[in-house]
Amino acid sequence: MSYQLYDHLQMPIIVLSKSYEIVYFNFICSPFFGLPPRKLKKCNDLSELFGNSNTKVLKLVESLSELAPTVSEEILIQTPKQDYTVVFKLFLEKNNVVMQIQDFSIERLLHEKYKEQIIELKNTHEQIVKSDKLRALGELIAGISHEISSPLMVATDLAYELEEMIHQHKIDPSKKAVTNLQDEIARIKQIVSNMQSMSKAEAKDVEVFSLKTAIDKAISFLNDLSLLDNISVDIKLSRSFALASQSKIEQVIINLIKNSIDAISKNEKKEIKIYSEINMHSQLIHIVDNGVGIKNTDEIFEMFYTTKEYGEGTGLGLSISQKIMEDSHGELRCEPIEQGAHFVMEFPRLDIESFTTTNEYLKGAKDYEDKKIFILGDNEGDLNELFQKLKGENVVLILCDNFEGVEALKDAYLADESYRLQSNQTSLSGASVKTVSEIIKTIRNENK
Amino acid sequence: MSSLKILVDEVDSELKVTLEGQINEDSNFDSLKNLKGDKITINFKNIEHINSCGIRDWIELQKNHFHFKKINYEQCPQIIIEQMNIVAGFVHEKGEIKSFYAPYYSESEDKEYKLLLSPSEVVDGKAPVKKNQNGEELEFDEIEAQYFNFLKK
Repeated sequence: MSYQLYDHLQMPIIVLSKSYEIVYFNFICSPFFGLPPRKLKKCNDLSELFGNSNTKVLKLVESLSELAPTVSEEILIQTPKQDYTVVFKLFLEKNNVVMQIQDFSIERLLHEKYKEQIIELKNTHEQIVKSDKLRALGELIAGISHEISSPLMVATDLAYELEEMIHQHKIDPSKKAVTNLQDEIARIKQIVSNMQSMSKAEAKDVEVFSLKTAIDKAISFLNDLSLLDNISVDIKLSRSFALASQSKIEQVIINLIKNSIDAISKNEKKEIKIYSEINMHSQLIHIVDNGVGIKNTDEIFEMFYTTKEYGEGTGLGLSISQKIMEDSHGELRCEPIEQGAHFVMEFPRLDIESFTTTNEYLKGAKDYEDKKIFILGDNEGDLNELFQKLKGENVVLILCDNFEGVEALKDAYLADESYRLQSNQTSLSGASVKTVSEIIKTIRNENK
Repeated sequence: MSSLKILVDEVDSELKVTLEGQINEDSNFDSLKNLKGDKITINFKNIEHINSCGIRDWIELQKNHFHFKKINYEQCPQIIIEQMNIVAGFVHEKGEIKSFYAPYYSESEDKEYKLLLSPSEVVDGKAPVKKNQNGEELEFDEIEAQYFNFLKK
C-alpha cells in the first residue's frame, strides 16, 4: 500500500503493522524525533522512538479495536530529541494502525509560561496596591499629626492660660480663652470626622447624594491637610444629585484635585476651577487646572501610567478613579485644552432643577413604561429612604426641588392620575401631581 | 528572557547579522527592525533551536521590516533548512541561500558529519559526493528529494 500522501502532511505519521512493527513513517518524523531516516528505518518497534513513554503509547495502540476504530489521547512523550506534549490520533486502516502525532508542546509551554506570568503580575499588583496604601497611610498620618498638633498646642497653651486666669480670678479674659479653646478642639474634631469619613470608603453603599456636598467634603479634607494653601480654588456648582457611593466619588474628586495640585505646584499663579454642567441626559463635574497639562490623554487611564517622578505616584489613581466612575454608571475623561488639564466626571442625570430646564426631559420621561415617581424636595435622607424602598423596582425618579417644577409637572401630566408624588412634606406624600398642584395653589393663595 | 543573541556588523556597506541561541517566543528582534541598507546577510550557524512562535516572529520581522534589495542567508544549519522546507515565508522573496549544512554519515567510522555546502553543489537534486579524512565516501544522511526541496523555490 502506498502511503506517499502522508508525506504531504506536516505532522509526524507512523504506520504500524498488526504486530506493531513500524512499516512506514513520513518525512516529518525525521526532524520530529531528531533521527536521520537511516536510523528511523532501523527502528523495529515503538520503544526505540518513545523511550520511557512507550508504555502509554502502546496501551493506546492496544485500545484500538473494531469496536473502537479511532482513539485519541494527549500524552507527554520522550523522544531521542526532546520531550513533547502531543495528541495521538490512531485509526485502523485495513490491517494497519495509522498513528498521527499532533504536537501541542508550544501551546502547553505558552500556557504554563503565561500562567506563571499572570501569577507574578497578580503578586506584583498586590504588592504595589499594598505599598500604595501604605504610602497613602503614611501621608495621611503625617498630615493628621501635623494638622492636629498645631491646634492641640494652641489648645494646651490656652488651657494653661485659663488655669492661670482662674488662679488670678480674671473672669473676662477666660471667656475668650474658653471660646478659642473650643474652636481649636472643634477643628480637631472636624479633622478626625473627615478622616473617619474617608476610612469608611469601602463600607458605604450606593446612595443618593448631593454632588456639591461631596465636592465640599473633598475640599475640606484637602484643606485640612493644607494641600490647597496658596491655590485659588474657584467652585461654581448647581444643585445636582448622583446615585453612587458617595465616599468613592469623594475619593475620585480628591484624586483629581490632588493631581491638579501636583501639576500646578511650580506655577506662580495656581488655579483650580470646579464647575458643574447639566444637559439632557447627564450631569457633569469639570475640574480644570492651569498646570503643566497632559500630553498623552489616551494613556493616562492605563494602569501604572504616571508622569510623576519615581516614587511620587504609582500610576493607579486615575485608573482606579475611572473604574469607580464606570461602576457608578458614569464616565471619567480628560478633555484637551490649551493650557493645563481638564477632567470631566459624567453622571447619569437624576434631578430636575426647574420647568424651564426640564421641559424636554419631562416629555421624554412620559414615554417610560416603568413606574414614575416625582419627588418634591431634595432632602438627602428622604431620598435615600425612598431609594431603599424602591430598590430592585423599575422606577423613574424625577426630582423637583421647587413648586414651579410641580406646576410644570401638572401641566404635563394633568390628565394622568397614575403619577404619584413623593415629598418630604407628609401631607403631600402619595398624592397625585394634580392634587399636589391644587394644594400648592391653596398654600400660595393663603400666603398672599 | 530572550535566549537569542543578535550581532549586527557593517562591512563594506553590507550588513552582517549573526544569530546565536534559540529563536522562540522570547526572542526580541527589535535590533533588526530599523536597519537600513541595500544588502543584508544573515548567519544562522549558531542557532540551536527554533519553534513555531519564533518562526512566526521571524516571518513577521522580514515581512514588515526587511526592505533590502538583497537578503542572503548563510551557514544555515539543518534545523533551519527543515523549517525552510516546510514553512512558506521563512525565506524572504528577495532572499537567497548562500550556504547551508547537510548531514552525512560514515558507516566505517559510525560518525555523523554536518558539512557546509553551497547550492551550486547540488545538481539535479543530488547531494554532492563527500569523503572523510580516510578518503572514504560518505553517505548522505537524509532523503535528498526532501532535504533539497528549498532549493527549488
